[in-house]
Amino acid sequence: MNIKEELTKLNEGRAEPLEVVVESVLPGREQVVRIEAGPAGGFAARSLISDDVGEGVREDIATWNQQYPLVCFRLADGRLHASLELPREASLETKAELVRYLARLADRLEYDVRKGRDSF
Amino acid sequence: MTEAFDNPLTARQVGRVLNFRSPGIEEAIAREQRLGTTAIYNILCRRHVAYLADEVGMGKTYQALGVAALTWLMDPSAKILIITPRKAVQQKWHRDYRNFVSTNVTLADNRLKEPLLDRAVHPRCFCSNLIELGQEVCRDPSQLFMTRFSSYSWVARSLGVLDSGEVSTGGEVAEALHDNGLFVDVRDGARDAIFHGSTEQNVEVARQMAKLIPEFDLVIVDEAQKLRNKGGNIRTQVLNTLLGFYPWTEARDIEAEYGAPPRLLLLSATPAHGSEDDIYTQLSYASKEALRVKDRPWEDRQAYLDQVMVRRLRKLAGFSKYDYRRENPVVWERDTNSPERVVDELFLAYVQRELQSELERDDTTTQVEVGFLESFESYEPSELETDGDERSTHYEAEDDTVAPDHRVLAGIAEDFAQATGDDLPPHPKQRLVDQAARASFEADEPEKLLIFVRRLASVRELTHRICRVYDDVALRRLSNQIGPERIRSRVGPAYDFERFETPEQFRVYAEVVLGTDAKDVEVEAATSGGDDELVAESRVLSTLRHQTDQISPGEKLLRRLGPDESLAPVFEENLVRFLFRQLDDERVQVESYEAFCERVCDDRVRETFHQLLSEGRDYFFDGDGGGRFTRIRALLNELVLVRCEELWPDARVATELLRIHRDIHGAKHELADDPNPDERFPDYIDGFLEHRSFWDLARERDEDLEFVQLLRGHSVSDAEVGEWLEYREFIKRIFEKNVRVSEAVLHFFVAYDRAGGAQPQRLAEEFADILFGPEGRRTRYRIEELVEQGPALQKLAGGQLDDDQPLYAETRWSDFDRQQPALGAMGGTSSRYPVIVKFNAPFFPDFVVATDVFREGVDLHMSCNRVWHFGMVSNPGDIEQRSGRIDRYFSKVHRELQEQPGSEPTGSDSHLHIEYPYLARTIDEEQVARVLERKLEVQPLMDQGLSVTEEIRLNLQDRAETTARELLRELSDLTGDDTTPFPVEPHLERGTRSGALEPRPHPDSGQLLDWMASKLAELEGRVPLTQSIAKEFREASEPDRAFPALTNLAVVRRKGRSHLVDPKTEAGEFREQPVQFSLGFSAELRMHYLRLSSPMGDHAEPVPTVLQRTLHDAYADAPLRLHHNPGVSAQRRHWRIAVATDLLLPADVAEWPTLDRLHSRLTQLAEAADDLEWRLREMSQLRQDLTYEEVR
Repeated sequence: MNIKEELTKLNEGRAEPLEVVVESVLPGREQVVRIEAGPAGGFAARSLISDDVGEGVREDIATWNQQYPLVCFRLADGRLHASLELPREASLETKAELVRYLARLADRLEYDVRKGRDSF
Repeated sequence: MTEAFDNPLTARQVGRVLNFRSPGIEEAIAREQRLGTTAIYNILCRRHVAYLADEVGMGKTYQALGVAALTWLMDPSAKILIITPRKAVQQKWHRDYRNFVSTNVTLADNRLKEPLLDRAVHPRCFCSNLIELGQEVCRDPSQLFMTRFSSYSWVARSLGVLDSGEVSTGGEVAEALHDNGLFVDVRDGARDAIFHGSTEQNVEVARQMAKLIPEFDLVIVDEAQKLRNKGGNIRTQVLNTLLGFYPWTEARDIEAEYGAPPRLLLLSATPAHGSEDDIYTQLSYASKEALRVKDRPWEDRQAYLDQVMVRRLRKLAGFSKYDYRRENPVVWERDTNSPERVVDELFLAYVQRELQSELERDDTTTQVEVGFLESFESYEPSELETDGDERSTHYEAEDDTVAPDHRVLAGIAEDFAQATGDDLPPHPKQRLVDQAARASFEADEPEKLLIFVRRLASVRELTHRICRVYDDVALRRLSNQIGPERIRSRVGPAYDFERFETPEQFRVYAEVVLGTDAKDVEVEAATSGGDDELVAESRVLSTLRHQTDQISPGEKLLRRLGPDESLAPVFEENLVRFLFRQLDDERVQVESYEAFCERVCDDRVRETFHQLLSEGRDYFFDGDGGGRFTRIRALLNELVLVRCEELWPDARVATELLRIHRDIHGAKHELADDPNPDERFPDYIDGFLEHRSFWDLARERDEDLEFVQLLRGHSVSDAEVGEWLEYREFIKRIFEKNVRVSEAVLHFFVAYDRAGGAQPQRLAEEFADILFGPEGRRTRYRIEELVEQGPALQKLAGGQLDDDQPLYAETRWSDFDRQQPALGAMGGTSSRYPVIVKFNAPFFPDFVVATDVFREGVDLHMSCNRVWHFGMVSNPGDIEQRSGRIDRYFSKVHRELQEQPGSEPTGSDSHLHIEYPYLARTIDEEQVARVLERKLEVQPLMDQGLSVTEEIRLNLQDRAETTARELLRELSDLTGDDTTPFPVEPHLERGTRSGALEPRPHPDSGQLLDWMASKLAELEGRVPLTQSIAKEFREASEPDRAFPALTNLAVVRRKGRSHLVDPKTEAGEFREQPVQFSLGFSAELRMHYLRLSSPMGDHAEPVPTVLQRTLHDAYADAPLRLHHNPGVSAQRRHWRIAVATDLLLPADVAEWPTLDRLHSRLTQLAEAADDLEWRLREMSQLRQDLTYEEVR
């Protein structure tokens, strides 16, 4: 999938929110990034890290948020997301790079979440 | 696959991004290193393996780091691993990497080095075992991974569940990995596979881990000769399996069967540990051609090696080792005619005879390994029982192996004790050590000596002997300096000795001088009990500084030298005096120091001082109302500096001094406009201004000394003032530290005695008189050396702590603690590093006695140019390795040679002395001769890197034809072939290559900071700010770090960072929401970002989910997040909560956020923080806002 082309379509209102699949570093897995057009020409990219995490992950979230320029949050139902703003000033190249970055990072955080749990 | 290694580079290109130059070192060396780095990189472009085999001490580590740097510049996502022989070497790489990036990488474009923060984009990762490596590689593969050989032998054991001898299944291995956070998918069939014994289990762990960790692009192996085993052992198999190297086999089509291995860079000064074959074994990990050529004729082998190997011979200032090395005997001549030595000689003869007959009685010991007899080093049989475990007599001997003469020595010792009741006479070679120690301790210019032993117990024995010699010399010196009359007058007739003879007598005197009543002191008999201690120490020095349960005589002195005690002002520079002298007449326009004081310490300064003292009572006074004088003096110094800045705003020296002062003392005080003084110490300030410390006195002394020149800094230009002051501070601190812990404490004792007490001014004067008089020659020599080699020492002692701290502030001062005349190194790694730092510094120890634990990977060259092979090694290569510790670039010899104008080195200091102590006409001489014979024979091959020879065994029946002395003469006369064995030239590219090394577009620091300043200024037009954040930002001395912003806020600086706080919060008044700005960098994104964060307070519980939800619901379109650091306050275990947001700053400046976006994000953030803070207050009674003190 050409992320730049897809982003252009999204920008022009020609597409529904977009899902980009990026290959994981873990064998046989992949990471999905959902991109929505945000207000005033920006985009919001979001990746699901895990669909069932406990409250215990909160300290990790604090650390990640400190460590990386992204927003990581856990919803009440236990879903854990990482999201990143694709700034409207940024070029399509930069936006595409940010999407790939988010996928890589989500991938790594997913690994950390697995490490912190008893079973997977 | 990495994009690195696609195209070879030219040396010119490499020179544009890496700079190997160092101050004080000739350009030719930097050039050699640049060419070496380029050549190795280019070899790796064509092949998967390269061998950098430069002679010892030529900076292989830095060249290898250069190759790693080029790899990352071509591909910032490349994965790089380093394998080192042992922990100490691993630590050295760790330190060198930081220094390398900071000093030698000139291109900062976010691929390798961050332009703004001047630090490595790829963090260092120190792995204690392979499990840690696995975890870290999965967490963040962009790091520089450092492992050690032993980890590859024990990977199963590191897992904590598997043990050798047991049987385990693939499933068990997977579960053990899983328990350690390594999630490997193992299919059902593989789960049941059974693995027997250690090798199979280790390989299975490696196999499973290999599925998880990504392939490395470059593996660097230090001391690669350790890879010479042909694949049968665990380590080799784990290495191959885990990292993807070829298994050891001569099968032809191996490349087809296995994927391409990682690029492998081998480093060693002695690649052929035994024979040339070893080289091919090492290369074969990543090249099958190596095994194919190894049996071909020399021409073919040479052609192959020419393609993969670089080896050059070391030259210091143009001199080859044959010019500056001197190999000399240190002989104990037998002298049976000397009446004083008759017992010694008889005993020596007796021991030799017993040994001969004992060793020859048994056929199996007709040959012994060189160096592997106890009697080569001592008469005392080693004590082998430690906690019931047998151990070996010698380092690197197999477990429970004792020297063949151990038993016979034990018998002799017992017989001697029974017959005479005396201790054994000292071993003659140990007396040679005594002589060397005495000569060094009595010299005006102390000479350092590195002594290598084989026998473990020798480390303790020799360090003890050296300390005893020191005590003797020190006591004589002290007694001369103080004078018999004074001693008698102080101690009284009861202790009527004319000079100190024992440490105990000195102790009594010290008690009297330092204020304890002599009558209460029991004089202990001189005992030899101290010899049983594990650590040797000088008892004289210990008397003055050792802390024990009881108050020792010196402890009193030590305490008074402590930060808040009466003697501290001896070494606390009066900055007012300093400024008076540094600010030029034209600027100051006052005639006298008194007039100057009146200007800079006016009423406002005095009143603010008293006001701040009273406001900060808890800080400036202890519970009993006693002053914490270091803090009080620091406050006054700061206020005066602030005043100077007001008076002479263009005087760099005042501004820079204030900055350094604040970095060290952390406080930030302004002069109050309308002070309200509360005078605690009415006379304090005048006394302070009058005071002259040692530093004020020292700068008036001998101006030929570099030390004094440094203190004065006359020729320092305005631009260099900051650097000079920092360096001056560094030297001052090292010096002060050393006065308290080195032999200079004896000067201080004499000064104390002469001053007749502890009045700081008098003491400072006496101390300066001694230091700059004839008695202070040794210490003066050391200080001069310190000033000369300080920058290099800074690197060595620094680099340990926080990467954000400036070097002079992060030196690990504790490394300089516990200075003794001699230190030993024999086993565990933890205490070794301080030994290395101290021996390189020009202070104590002057002697290091080490087993071969110091043979490799340790640099001891900065202050030492003499090595003794006290315990002989059986291999000329090991002699080379040992000598290499002090024969390196930047060594003492190197410094001296650079100052030599002639064609031949002259003088002892410009030679490297390699010396062999032995007993003439004994088998000791035989063994030395045998190894030297071999060394002469193989020296040309060793220079080429092609042979080191197998270990030599000593046949007891044979006699060498040539004596050791003759052989050494031949060795010293030897002239080497200057031809470079494997030059770099064939690997160098000519002409212009691709532009891949050109800087990548990125905001440079100036651009980024200008942008920030202008945006902040514009922001002030929109947000009602009471304080100019743009001005704060521009003026911040470290604008790359956090800087303050927003309304009505006080700024607190701590450890170089700015913190914001509303001073009104304590009073519970209404406040506006603070927002803190900081610049960060994401290594992954290779992008800077501007972080805005607004602190909300502390909370005893984790952030309630409801707040999280509120944030997302109410501010759905702004990527805000809650930010909480658990447990920041150790006492209260609270959570510090903030709302934060990041604005990315991509490489292209046009993509940076507009003012509108910055403004809207800022207001969103402040609003959200206010909103959430209000909810938080409602939710919990425990919630507290941040107070001024908490943020401090």
